[in-house]
Amino acid sequence: MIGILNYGAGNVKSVSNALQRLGLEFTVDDSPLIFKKSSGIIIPGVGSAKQAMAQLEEKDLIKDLLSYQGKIMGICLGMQIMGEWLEEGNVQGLGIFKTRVQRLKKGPRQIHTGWNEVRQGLSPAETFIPFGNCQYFVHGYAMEVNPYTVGIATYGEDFSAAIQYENYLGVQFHPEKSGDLGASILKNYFQ
Amino acid sequence: MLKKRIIACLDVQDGRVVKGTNFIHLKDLGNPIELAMKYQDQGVDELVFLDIKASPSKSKTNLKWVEEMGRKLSIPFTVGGGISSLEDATKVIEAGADKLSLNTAAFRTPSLISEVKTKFGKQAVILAIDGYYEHHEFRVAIQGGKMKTSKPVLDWAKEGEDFGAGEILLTSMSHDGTQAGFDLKALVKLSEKVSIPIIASGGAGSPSDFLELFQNTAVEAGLAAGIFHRNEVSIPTLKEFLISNNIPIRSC
Repeated sequence: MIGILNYGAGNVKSVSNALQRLGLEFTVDDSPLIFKKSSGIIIPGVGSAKQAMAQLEEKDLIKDLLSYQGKIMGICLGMQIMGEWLEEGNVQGLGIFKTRVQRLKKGPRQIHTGWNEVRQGLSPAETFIPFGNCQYFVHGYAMEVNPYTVGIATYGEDFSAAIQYENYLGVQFHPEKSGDLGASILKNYFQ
Repeated sequence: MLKKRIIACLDVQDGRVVKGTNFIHLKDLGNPIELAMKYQDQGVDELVFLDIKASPSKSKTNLKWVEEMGRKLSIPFTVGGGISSLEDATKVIEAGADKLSLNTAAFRTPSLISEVKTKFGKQAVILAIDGYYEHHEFRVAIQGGKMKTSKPVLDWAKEGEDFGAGEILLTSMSHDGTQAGFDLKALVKLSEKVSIPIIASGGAGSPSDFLELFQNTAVEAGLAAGIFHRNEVSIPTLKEFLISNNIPIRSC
């Protein structure tokens, strides 16, 4: 059973639709109970970082996110809050990855929107990201490239498209919206 | 490198896909779910559904087909037509749409853009603008093109960006359905004016029109409807043609 963390930060529906298409069982919940009944957790996320962190705090989910032993996948904002500090709203993240999340300033537009190629990063961690293929991105902030970066993408500058450490995987793109190649990541990671 | 997007637009009326010329003379072109799935399989990058009856008659978008699209599509899709309040927007997003296309209601009440942006994020708001020419001035039309306003398109686009729109979908009405090519002049000006992604719409008749669009403007995406629905241009052929001309395109 995969638990989708419903902490008021959007795209729960598109994530649950994607899991349904893959035939993966899931539950949507906003209470700490989700960690007891799930063998893996997805932190979805679109919207503002400040609000997301405030919601996690209010719903008492942070402690479990840090101690949970099953696999956790953060998507988009759900990945960014795994960082230490987020420029958007000047907030502290979960600090799983000791990195910063900052505004993308070198691309032609404020928001990096569309399909972009994901290349292999420096981290030797075994991953399920299909390198050299396109995934769908939509974000204005991004995590810097760091030793845990397994996938890199470029929009005016390089940034972390995917990060991985122990049981945590963060993806800046939307595997639930990236066709069959995106779906394969969800499937392989949680299988 | 970020790829240029090819977007298919489905104008939906009473549960059927329709398409006209210069916004009138609508023809029945099939079932939206079947067409959407076909385009997804062919490698379209995004889909836009416009409930074209919703705005003029003030009826609301039928959420049943939005939900079905959400269940079946694994690529991003936008829904527009008749979204006139935060409540409407919430229903459409909760039904599974990734983005909303706001047009008439946003023009009348621009704060709707910021309300939707605050609740769902900038990326969920596409400001759709229908432009028409009068005495060489490019102005905004609303209500599915039926009501002409005196507002210059570029001014409204900039205001929309300031209110929090995440993308602009510009349809040049005088080009729409004519297959005479995109309105490059207007698109160049628009892309200098705003710093959010632009989707070009209206006038695509051949793969060369898309090539000209991407070679001569900075827009991120090209949208077409009729040429895809009538099988005049297939998405795989179009993408191969653009790739062979060195346009960054997602291959499938």
